[in-house]
Amino acid sequence: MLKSKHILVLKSYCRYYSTSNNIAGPLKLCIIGSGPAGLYTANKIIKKLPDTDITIIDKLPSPFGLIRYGIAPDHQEQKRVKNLLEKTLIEHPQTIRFLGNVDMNTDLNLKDILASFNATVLACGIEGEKKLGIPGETLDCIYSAREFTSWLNGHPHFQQKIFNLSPEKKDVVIVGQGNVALDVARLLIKKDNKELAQTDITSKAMDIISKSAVKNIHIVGRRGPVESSFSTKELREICKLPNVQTWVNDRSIIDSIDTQSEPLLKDRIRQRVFQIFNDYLKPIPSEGLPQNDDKVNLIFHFLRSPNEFIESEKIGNSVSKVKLEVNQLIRDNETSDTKAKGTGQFESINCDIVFRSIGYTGVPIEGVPFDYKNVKVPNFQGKVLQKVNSDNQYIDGLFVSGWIKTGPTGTIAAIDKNVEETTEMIYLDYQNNRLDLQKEKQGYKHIIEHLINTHKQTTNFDDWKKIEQEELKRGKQLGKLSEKIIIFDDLKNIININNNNNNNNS
Amino acid sequence: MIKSISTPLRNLIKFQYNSNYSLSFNRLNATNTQRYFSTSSNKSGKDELVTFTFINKDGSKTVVSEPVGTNVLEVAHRNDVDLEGACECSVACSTCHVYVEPKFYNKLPEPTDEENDMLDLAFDLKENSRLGCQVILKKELEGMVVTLPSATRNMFVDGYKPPKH
Repeated sequence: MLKSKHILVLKSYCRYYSTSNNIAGPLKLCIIGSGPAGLYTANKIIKKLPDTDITIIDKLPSPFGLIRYGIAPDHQEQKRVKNLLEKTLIEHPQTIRFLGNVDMNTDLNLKDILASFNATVLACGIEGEKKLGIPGETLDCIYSAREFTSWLNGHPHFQQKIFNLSPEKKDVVIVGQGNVALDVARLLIKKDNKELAQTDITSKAMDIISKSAVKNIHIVGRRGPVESSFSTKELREICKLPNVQTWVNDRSIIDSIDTQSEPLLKDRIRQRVFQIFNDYLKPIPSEGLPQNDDKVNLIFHFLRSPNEFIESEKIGNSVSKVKLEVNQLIRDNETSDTKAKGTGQFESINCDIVFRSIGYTGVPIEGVPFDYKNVKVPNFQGKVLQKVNSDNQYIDGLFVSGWIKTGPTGTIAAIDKNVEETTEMIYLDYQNNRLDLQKEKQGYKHIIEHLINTHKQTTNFDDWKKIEQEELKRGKQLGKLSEKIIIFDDLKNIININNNNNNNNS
Repeated sequence: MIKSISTPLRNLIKFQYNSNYSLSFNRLNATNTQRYFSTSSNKSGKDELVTFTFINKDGSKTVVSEPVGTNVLEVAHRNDVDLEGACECSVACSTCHVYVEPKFYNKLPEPTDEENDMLDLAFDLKENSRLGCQVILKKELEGMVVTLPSATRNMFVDGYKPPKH
């Protein structure tokens, strides 16, 4: 399987580091997080080392993480990756176990997990969210875009949130130039869309969205069209919606871009994103945006940074305007990176609702180093380093996959290769006897005993299938794909959670 | 027992077997069924096959012969070539990204905007990148080489440093 020169390198490596007993038993692996990164890790490890005994922990009762709660409900074709990942679980009932409703920090601790398994993979994503840190940010009707998409996807942690989308609210500002910003805009534009109502969006959320009457959606970003993080698919999709008109705050920003400039020519994605902007965005007419037709105005504001949210004079504590500072781009000639710099000029736009979608910050895990600058756990090709920049010094048996490995960017398309590298690293460490294989590890048994002793209610894969069946059944009754169960007590009745701890042992 | 069954029929059985796992390969299934029943009456069925080579992630080769009209992702799945297909041919992911030998790349119809949008997200995109699910076999592709991108092909040589104690 390996090329001969690879084998040479491996051989010399083995000579140095392997102990006399190099015949290893089956690997006991713990994966923390059952989103795309975690399940892809299981999928790829089991292909390379079919005997591996895998325990997958998730803090939610159901698997699939952002596939279930992050990808927008109108992107069902993207959610299909669930089938591929679930197949791995179905095909290995004896060796891959799902353990839901278990929080790594409060129900277990990482030290204990590391001691109980030969290897542990953190695949729990990046959860902290950046704030703007400007005056007025705590006013009513200023929301997090990520919480909004989690809420309408039925994420159990966000069902208490109230999103006020009442019909008198006409102007929405979305701060951020990434795909989550477009998700929010698209779902608001699709409020009358029958197909959306038939997806797995919660009925409650669909009801609220369908009663909204948003007319103008402003997408505000501090940099220009070339620097935005939109992906071409999402951008093309929203610009092509039938009931939308697309505008730009200042057409000269687009027209002044030199399409033959070096950075743009080299970057295919940015080039194609720019092309879409160039084709679709019209300058705002001198008489103002049309307000009396049946289309939604989608306005891209480039080179603008929110400076302050201004309170409504009529409705106390509610946002009514956002003050924006006009930026100019400063290009660093050495790195060809651009930075937005304020010019001291200001303008303001009306807004009744604000969604913030400006990226993530890390929430560090106890006992694991964290690189705050790049928002990830420091690692070399998936193997966790002892500290940031500690070249070649690793925490034995600890690996990372997904966003926590590379930082919180990249769509599900990038996860495949991200994980491939990590699993190769685990495989190499396994082959070279770096994973403490001589010592008998308790693995799953230790963890489940601890959870039973502390009376923790957990879910397993069969429970998930019961949940899913019930959700499909409820969906069918409502004429939609699925109706997610968002109340934990409801869920407990469905899976008879009190009895299942015993069934977990197989 | 299986050996006595014709290849198309065997593949059909394989796909139905897969569908027991409630995988929604329905779209693939439907097209396969149609094609198999139509080609089974075709006496010169042999002419309909295209033989080409996959270069796998580890550098090994898999030579396959599959009917005209099949897409490269389907072919990979039927021949145990490790090519994902996360979105099941709906052009919503880039996990079936492959490199098509340049000489044959030029014989393919231009990628659509939608395919290009997904290729934008592909790992290690090259001039001859395509989505496997959008490459449909035809006679002109006889003898082509399709290479799977690998994130780890060079890891042994370039990357892996023996850890210190």
